[in-house]
Amino acid sequence: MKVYFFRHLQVLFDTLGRMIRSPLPTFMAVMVLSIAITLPLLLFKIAESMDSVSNQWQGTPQISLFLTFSGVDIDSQSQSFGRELLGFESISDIEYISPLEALVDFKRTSGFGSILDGLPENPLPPLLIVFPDESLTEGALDALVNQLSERPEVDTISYDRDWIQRFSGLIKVFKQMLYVLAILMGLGIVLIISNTAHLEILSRRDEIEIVDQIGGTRTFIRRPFLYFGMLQGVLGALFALVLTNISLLVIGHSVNALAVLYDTNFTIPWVGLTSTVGVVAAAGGLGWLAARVTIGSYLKRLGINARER
Amino acid sequence: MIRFNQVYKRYPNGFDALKNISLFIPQGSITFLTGHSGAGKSTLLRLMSLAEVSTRGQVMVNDLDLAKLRGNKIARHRRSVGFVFQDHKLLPDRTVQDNVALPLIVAGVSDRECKSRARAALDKVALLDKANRYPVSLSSGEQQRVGIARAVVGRPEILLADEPTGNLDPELANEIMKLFFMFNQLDVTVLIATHDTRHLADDRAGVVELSDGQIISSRHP
Repeated sequence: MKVYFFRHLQVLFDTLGRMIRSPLPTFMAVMVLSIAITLPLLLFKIAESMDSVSNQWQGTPQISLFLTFSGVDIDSQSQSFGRELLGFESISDIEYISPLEALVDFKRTSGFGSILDGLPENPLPPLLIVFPDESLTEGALDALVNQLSERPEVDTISYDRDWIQRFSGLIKVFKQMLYVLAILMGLGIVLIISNTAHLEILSRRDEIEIVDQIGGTRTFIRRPFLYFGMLQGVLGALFALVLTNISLLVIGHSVNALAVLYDTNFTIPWVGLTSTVGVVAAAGGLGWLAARVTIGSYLKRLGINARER
Repeated sequence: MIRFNQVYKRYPNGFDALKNISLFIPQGSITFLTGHSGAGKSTLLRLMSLAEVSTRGQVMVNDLDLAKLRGNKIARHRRSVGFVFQDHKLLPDRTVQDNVALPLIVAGVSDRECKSRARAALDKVALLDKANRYPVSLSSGEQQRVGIARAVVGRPEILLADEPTGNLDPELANEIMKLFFMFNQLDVTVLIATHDTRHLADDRAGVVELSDGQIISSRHP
């Protein structure tokens, strides 16, 4: 058993040595692989982040009620209406934003401060933000919105669920496209490694025949090529992880700046340990599989150990 | 012991390389297979190492019917047969010692034992001092001796050689033949395919002459 593991290690290091001894072809092949892995990985990270933002929004639905009150007691009337709404079982919280608070906030964020100063009176209505109970179903939410919109105190009602649903739908489509892309890229990885493994087999054709002739089993003959495929996949994945994290670093600043404008905390995290292990294992496995298929078909074509099952 | 019972070999292109070959080669003997090019000498050897399979008939080696071998038994059989090629078939990117050790590595022998047995085999063919050289730096005769060392390092019961002196001058050819006789004295059954008639006179060896895939004469020691 000790000899068996020693021989495996020997083949692993021998294969690595061969790859290092021809640095340019190895580098080119590994870079092609890493680019093929980087694209879906990067898109996956973006989709993952968008999904989490979508879930955040879906978890705390808000209904904005623009009220009809006016005059000097506008705040007390609005707050009184808010307290009445708090008595609804389907509403968990209410936040009141007075016309004055809204105007100050609008001046701060819109950049039309001087124009707004010139207005004879504050045109903004009082606003109640309603936080429905989280346990409400979609049907119950619709019923609540209908109920509130029929109230005479409510001028306009705004509920952003449709927009969130559209956003979620877009993410869903994006993720499905990503899965298709990932499958295509996986197929591409198999083909790339299969091609390089085939070239490696051709360059070691004599060795294969000699080893076969002196009593090497199929398993023994296949072994260096399987390690070759696996190492290519693993190295391609490691480079891809580096490229992905660099890309995330580059686009991260712009994404953060954009997120601040939308008052959200949207960030794209780096590729975590679990994903790293998963990507390396998957690429290594695909490399092994590609090499296995290639060397298998080559041995079959050559008729080596043709009667071995 | 090697036995051929009414063996035929037809290649996919329709060429009949062997026709109705029946032959018995006792354990520990040395036999020359001779005949013109295309007579079937190499095919006969290749049937014994299972590089080819017979179309009809039975090839028995040490009571094993080769047609019935499957899977790893084929590889195991090949390890019990040493094969010396006319063109040496050495791996250019491995040292002489690593080339010789290859059958032992394939057989799963430990690294330490591989080294000591490879060096012992190289010592037998008087090439121990070139163990760390690469094949390309050796002469043709030396490369053939490395090929012989590789064929015997696994202590095979049978040693097959296909035109082992084909590319060598007469002096080197004699040296190579001496090596075969030396291994034969260690009870190794030796079969040598050659069209070099100078060695056939040695009365320690049997001679089987082939022509157009058939045995036309045979002599036993």
